[in-house]
Amino acid sequence: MKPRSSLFRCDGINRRDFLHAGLMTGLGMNMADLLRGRALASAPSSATRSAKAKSCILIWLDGGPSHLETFDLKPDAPVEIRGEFKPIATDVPGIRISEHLPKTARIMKHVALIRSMTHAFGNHNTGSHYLLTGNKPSPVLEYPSMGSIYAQQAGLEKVLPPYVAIPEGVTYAGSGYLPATYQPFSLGGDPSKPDFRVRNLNPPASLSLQRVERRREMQQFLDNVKRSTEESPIDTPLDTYYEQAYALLTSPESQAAFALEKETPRARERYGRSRIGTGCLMARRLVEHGVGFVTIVDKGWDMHTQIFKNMPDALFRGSGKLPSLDQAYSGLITDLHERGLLDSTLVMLMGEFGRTPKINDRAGRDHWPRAGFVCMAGGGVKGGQVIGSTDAYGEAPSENPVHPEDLAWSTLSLLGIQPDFAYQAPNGRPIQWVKGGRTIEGLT
Amino acid sequence: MIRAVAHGFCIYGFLLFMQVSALAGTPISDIAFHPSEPTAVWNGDFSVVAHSMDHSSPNRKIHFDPLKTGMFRIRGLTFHPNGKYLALAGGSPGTKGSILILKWPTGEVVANQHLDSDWLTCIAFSHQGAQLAVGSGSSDILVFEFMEADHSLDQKQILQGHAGSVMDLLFNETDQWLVSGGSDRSVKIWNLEQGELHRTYAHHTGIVYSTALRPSQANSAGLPFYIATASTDQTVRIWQPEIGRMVRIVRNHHTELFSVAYHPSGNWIASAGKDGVIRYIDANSDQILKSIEAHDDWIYALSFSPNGKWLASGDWKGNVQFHQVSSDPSQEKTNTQP
Repeated sequence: MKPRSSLFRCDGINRRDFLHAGLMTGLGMNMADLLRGRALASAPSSATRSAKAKSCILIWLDGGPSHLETFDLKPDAPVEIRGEFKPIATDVPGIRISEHLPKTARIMKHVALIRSMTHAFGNHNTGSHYLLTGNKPSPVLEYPSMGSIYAQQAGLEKVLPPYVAIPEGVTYAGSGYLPATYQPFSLGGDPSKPDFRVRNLNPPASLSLQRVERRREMQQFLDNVKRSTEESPIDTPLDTYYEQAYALLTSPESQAAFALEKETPRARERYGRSRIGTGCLMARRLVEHGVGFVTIVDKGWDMHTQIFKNMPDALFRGSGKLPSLDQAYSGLITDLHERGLLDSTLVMLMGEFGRTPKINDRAGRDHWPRAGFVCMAGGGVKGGQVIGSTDAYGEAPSENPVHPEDLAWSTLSLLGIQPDFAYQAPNGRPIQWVKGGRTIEGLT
Repeated sequence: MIRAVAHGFCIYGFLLFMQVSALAGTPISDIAFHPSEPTAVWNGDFSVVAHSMDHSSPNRKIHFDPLKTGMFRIRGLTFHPNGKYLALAGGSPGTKGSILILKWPTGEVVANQHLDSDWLTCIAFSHQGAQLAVGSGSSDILVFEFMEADHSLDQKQILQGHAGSVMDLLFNETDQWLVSGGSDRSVKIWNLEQGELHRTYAHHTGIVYSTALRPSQANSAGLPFYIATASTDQTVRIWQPEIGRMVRIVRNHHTELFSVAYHPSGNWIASAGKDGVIRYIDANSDQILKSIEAHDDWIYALSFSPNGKWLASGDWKGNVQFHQVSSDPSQEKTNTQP
């Protein structure tokens, strides 16, 4: 039997399955297809206001990270709940986190730790939808992710796309009911691999830039012929998409933004050379080059078995999820701070839910949406604080519960987007970005 | 392409305001006035925009080939004191630093220095024009000797001491001292004759984004030179760097500050930041004289024209505004309410 990848979720739905289901066609589109969707998009609305954050980096821990092994330990709970990890002090008196996050412990002065995230959707897809969009899952409507809302508001005038996913988006990190043009631009590969190339940004080796140029000229010729014979509002700007795709393909700006190999060894080491580490480093480069919303997807957090081994060590000592997250997250926050970017960049760390307080019979924890954590830093967020808390066993919020609507409401507000703005869907139906949320108390 | 020239005019009491929407979506990180011509320049992507204040010529944009120049992003710009050159600092974040020196007004690139370090965040010519200093995202400050005869740039000093990006720097009027502000929340004073760090001020509790030198008219009586710094700790602080004294702290901004500029008379300071408001501060007290809601986005750049008649402000969205100071700045205090 083929070994099951640790990156699989327990429900067995991976990206291939998802593409088969036809729900995420945007990520499979080529560049021009992606840009073509713009014709169907409504013009960016004026529902923006002065932003506290100019860009956002979302680190998505796909599968549901355990709050009890990371940021909300319960050392005084019974043994079947508290687990094996010990809490350690941080640079903020009174805040204690996992012993396997020692570097993160030194940057907590920048972090607002929300310990009371709560909802009721314990399935990966519904939980992801809720957290990434701020809207409860609906059988009839897929809502746009926060990144896609940002892209819709920011517009697509620049060479670099406004919304990028590293290495690629997850379910419900897409454009939902918005046109597919607001899907994230996916790198399409693991940036930590030596042979990494950005999909769609580098033509195949067999296709030289001269041939790309010839194809473009041919496209322009055909487009001119088409335009001379017919005019329609959708078809007329066809060449625009190719021009944009061509600009992205050939622009020095885009080539420079994605050129991870240009970073110094010191910078690479600061983030770590893991998948999430290089993803965070890439995100910092993209933000510096003007990309507004970057989602880094780190899979493998769905730990139903051997959680106390897999989190720190996995295959060998130190190879687990927590050491690489610790290095990457602390490296990103520190680097952004040292470069004067943390103030304008909102950094979010979260997954779709927490894990069951009671350890199961396979030494793991199962899905638990009633309690989870979100770390927010930079972008106008007041660091060095804990927002909300859970009860003695980490089962449910005991004070100041925060719902996904509140998180999306606060995030969009920080980005200068009016969260209750009613978007006019193509069928004329007004739909609010987020319904029923509120600004998280004390966050800014 | 420059989208529109004058967006609109508006009278703010004694201040005339004109907005230029220059480059959609390109944050304006620096604005510089020509020392003798009525011209202002600011940064764009792979370009600088020149705006004639007396409308004697249309706005123009000077483009660069980023592949040849390495200038993917421009962060700082400054005119040579003789007005014959414009120097630009920038590069590619995390990859390469670039300095470009352009002949003015032709825009011809006469010097192009590549540094295999991080991008450059700020730039300043010395008052004699013989030295050029740049600050880096990697925390270094590099001082070059600029020879007009052959347009050469020879690296003279590397000043190391900041623990994060250098955000802004300036020379004092004798070119003996260099003042820098950094993301490590410090203001550092460097002795250029000895090439050493002279003093560090750690009073700010936020990133020091901007530094400004009090012009000479104000301290011609032989007083030590004064500087002002603006920080995300929501304060402007005024210093006598040589003798190691913080003279004054200006609070009541209630917003994080990104830019500060001295009026050429030395009697006024303008500050601006996240709330898009420009505040005029009496340089001799800690009093905010006037607040103008100028931009609907973060203001990153402020600059007074050498004759003191204009204040230019640039924001994150790429809008530049010119505020005409139509009365004697020294009378501002009596003409306005705090």
